[in-house]
Amino acid sequence: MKSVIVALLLVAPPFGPAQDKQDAASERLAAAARELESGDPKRIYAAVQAVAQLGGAALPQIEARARESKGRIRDYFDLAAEEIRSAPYLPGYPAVKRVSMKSGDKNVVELLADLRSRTGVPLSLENLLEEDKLPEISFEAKDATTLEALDAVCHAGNVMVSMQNGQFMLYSGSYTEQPRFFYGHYLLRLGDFDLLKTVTFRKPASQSFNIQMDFVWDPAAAPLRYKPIRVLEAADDRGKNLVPPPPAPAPRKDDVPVEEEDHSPVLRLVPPSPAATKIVLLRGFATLVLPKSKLTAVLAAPKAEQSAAAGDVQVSILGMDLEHHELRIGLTSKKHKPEALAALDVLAQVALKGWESTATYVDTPTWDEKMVEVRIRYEPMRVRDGIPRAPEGTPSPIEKLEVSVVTATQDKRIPFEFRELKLR
Amino acid sequence: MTILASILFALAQGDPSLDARVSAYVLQLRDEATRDRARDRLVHLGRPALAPLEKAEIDPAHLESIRQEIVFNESLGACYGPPHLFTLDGSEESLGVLLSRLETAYGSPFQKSSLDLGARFALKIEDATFWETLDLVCNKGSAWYYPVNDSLALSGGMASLKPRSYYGPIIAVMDRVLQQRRVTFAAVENDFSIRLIPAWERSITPLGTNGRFRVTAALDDTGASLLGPPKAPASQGRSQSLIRTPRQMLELTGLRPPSLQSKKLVRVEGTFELEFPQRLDEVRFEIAPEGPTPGAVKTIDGATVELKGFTPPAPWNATLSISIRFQNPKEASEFRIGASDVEYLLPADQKRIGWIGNAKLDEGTHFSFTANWRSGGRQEMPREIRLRIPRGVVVKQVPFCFRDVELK
Repeated sequence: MKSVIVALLLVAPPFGPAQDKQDAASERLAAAARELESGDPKRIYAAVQAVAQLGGAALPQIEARARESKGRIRDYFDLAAEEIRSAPYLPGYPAVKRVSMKSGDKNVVELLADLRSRTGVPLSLENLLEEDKLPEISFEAKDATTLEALDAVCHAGNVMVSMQNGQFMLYSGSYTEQPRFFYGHYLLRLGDFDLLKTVTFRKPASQSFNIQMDFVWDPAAAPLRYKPIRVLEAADDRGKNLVPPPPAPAPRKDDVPVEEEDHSPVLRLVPPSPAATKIVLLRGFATLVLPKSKLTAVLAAPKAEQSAAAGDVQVSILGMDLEHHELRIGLTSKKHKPEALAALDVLAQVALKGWESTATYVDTPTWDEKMVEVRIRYEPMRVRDGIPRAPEGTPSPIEKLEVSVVTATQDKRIPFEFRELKLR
Repeated sequence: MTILASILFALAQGDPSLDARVSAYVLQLRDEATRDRARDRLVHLGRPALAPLEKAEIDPAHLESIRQEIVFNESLGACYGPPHLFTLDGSEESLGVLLSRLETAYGSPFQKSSLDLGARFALKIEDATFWETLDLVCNKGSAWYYPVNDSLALSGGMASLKPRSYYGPIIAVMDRVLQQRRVTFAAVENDFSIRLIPAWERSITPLGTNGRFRVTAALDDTGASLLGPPKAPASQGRSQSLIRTPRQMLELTGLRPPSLQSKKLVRVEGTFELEFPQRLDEVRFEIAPEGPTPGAVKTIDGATVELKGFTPPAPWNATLSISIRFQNPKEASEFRIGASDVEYLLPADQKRIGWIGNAKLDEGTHFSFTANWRSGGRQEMPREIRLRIPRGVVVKQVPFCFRDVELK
């Protein structure tokens, strides 16, 4: 039996019983403040989240602490305060689930199925079922977030997790040891470090230092997109500051927002000193754009030319191609011109008969003077076993189509902090 | 002794100038600073240089290698030849005059932009190749060009600082040096590559480079060798395309990165492969001065070449349609047509090349293609079309050597 013990311990501040809420909050804040100085990112950000959980009542104390603090400690308190302040603007934002699991006689597929049933996270195990015999794994996770537990199971069972169209994809036998940082519903992983020196003999040799980063998130807290990553602190073991100077503001066309849906963001840093052997600290944040409010139209058993209202937005089906898993919908509104409507984010969810879920993807809309046209693509997902389905290749009828127009968004900062990243 | 002094001395002695040149180059072979250039000139003096060379005091191994190279170059026939050589005596001349001399040798006018053609300067060179002379003129005239094999375009501004290596009618420009270090968590990968751009005079007609190379020496200024572990040469699968598109770039890969303290590469030396046709036939078709040219058929050894049509849809461009029927299906299947194989001759004996539109092979032996003539903005039509029908491939190893390449 493959014996891998994975214990995820969320280091919680030492909360003690208190007589009144005020004192309890102060005590917990003081304990969290000590954790913030620990130098261990796992403990630090557990403390940040613990501070954020103190809620609005503790906000004045947290803000006071932030004012009293300096440097990165101040940033941590600011982040916790920001979490509290933004919570009312994200009413549909799911709470972070925590899970404890222990097993000595399950294989990776059984463990993932167990995690799926405990957390409701949509995991399609289809890719993993081709293996003839999977070894049993000894596994333990305590008070872990869904993503922490998922990553730990995948580590133990040598399975890679990636995101495709906002859904998890699992691949057997390809888990990679990468620096990773968990924060609530999000996991940030570092990919390759790339140091490039180019001599063109025309101007001084240029050097670039890029680190690939990728995001994994719980689909329940999927962002609409994210803005460019900001690096707050980065230094090598020779003391060289690797934070690049702020970029010169580039002229923009037509007020196009800078953020783009880039699923492989790159951290662009100043190249480390030639003798550096590691990056001692890399800290920053990614700003996610989340839906704050939306109007939703539900079309049951949709068919061509059917329409439904989402607030003042009329959603009509222009075309359906079930064989290729594609729909075209039109959006019109008496209140918004097509140009303005096209600027709003559109979300969709397709439910198929005989399938419990789909990975649904909305293309960038196009518009003319009459309407906005949106192409929706979907991929059936097997996230529950034992459901009778139509044979492979037979198009399944759509049971339900939900189309949401996002009327307001809210930014949410997701921090990351890595220490001791080896360069050699 | 300089070549000029040597020639003057030789003339005073009544010796033929070739002997004098050979003697001068033999002397230069003894000096490391001039050895490569002297060997290059001896090789490109060709077979006539062998007799005086055999009489000279020269290392037998050197003599043998020069003889082999001369014999090999001769075997390439009309596709290969010596470089155009220039000797300037230090008199002042204008940039325009100097460039026009180079254009004459090149066989085609250069495109020129932002050049002060009236600027005058004095240059003193002896037996410099076309590319050496062009670079010297560009250096003095603050001009640069991108080394290509079609039509050279010179721009004013500043001279190029890219390192160069010369070999007879060929130049290799070091375009870029790239050093990449990648930490993948499974391994640390170090890559170091050098990009060369080879170009050649229009007087030689290779098929192009094939991407193969061999670096024999690569040293940085700390004495570290950049040579990686030997690798089997990459197999060069024949392209499926029936249109031959020569590579413009050559990436020297598989090198170790220089040491951290190094500031320059003191030496990068090796050879790259340049392909020539094993056999080359030339077919000429006259073009009607006005309107469509009627079809015509010419026969070459092992094939029939037919001009199906040359139809000018507009005064300054036209479509050429050619069909080649090979007797040997193997020759047909290996045949590729390239843009440089179709030459358009203008009334003033100027040559121009167009581009190949499409090509196909039918029935195993019937190769046909269309090509397009472009006049370059002038309302003129060619009077003749010259087709090169290259068959088979011979590889020539072209040496390159770069010294003191600054990595800053």
